[in-house]
Amino acid sequence: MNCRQFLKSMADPAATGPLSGERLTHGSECPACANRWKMAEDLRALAAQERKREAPSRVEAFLMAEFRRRPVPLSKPVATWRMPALWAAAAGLVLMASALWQIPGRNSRFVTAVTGPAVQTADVDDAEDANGFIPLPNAEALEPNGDVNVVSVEVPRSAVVAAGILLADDRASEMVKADVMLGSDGLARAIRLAN
Amino acid sequence: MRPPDTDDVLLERLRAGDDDAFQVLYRRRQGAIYRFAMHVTGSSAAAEDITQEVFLTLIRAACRYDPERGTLNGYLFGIARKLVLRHLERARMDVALDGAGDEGTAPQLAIHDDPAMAMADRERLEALRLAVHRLPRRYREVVVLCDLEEVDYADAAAILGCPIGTVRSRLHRARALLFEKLSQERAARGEIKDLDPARCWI
Repeated sequence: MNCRQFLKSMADPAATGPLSGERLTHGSECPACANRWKMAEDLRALAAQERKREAPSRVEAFLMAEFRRRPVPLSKPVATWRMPALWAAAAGLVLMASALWQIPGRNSRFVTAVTGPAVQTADVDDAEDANGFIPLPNAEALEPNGDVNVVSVEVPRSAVVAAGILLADDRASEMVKADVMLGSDGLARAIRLAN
Repeated sequence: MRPPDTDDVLLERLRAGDDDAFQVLYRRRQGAIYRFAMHVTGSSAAAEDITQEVFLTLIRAACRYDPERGTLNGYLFGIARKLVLRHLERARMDVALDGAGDEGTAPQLAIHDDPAMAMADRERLEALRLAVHRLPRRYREVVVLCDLEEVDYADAAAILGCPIGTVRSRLHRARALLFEKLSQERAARGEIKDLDPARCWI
């Protein structure tokens, strides 16, 4: 047996205990291999000795208290097959938001959010409703009697033009105040100029 | 006699709010997590904090564990390793600010409650423990996982975020470094003659 064979034989999980057979013969000729064997034995002894070491009992006491204090049974993970649908929904939200505020250099400022009354459907072809809201292009219709939110914002005039409202675009960078109507799903449905 | 519940069964019960299941799971896994953290950080206080944080994470986010991606043991070790790395990073920055030197702190003394163990054996194991602690971190953690905690190579690879081949090569290198350090110490003490490492590193 040479050193390479000796080292290879050490990888055998059954190779424990005192050197014997060919290993013993090689070990008696090669102190380095014999010491290497001894170190592997020492590592096993150290592992066995260390197994007695555990976290203090106060950690368990603290964790048990925390476990009992937590409010509700832990929820199960979202099923894997649902993940693409959730990502698609999230992407849709982002697209809808960017469709509304797609003007380069936009710097709309959020002013305030109020809960508005329920309104009737906002169809693309509908004219301005009684409250002065103009449906946004490609926005879904609102559910009858569904809750809506009205958010007041300041946006560049050019953004309002992009939303389908005709304004003179010689002052495109000027800010105008507008109210945006959001459906119960948080998506923009209609817009109204404050002035 | 009924066989003990597997980790996955205990986790299901834990998710349903069964505190006995949590206790059994904690008692089964805490020791290895604590020792891993202690050996890699060199601090029992840090190991205690890390063990606590690992199981708090399990309490608060048990739903994040996906059995298809590995064992629960590997998942817990993975959390522990992140916390260990964070601790070491913080310690390194503290040391840099203090202007001191070594990585981590001195390891705790060994448990010597075996009266049959000869003094020479104790000293040898203590020297080995110190040598493990002085290994560079990437070698230290693989020795602790694979040699001291007997985590299999596949789990170790998942915990360390590297291929199995890397685990094997790091372990090989780590043992070589350990051997070198111990041989140098023994040679310095005159226990053995200077070795010719070339012969055994074919």
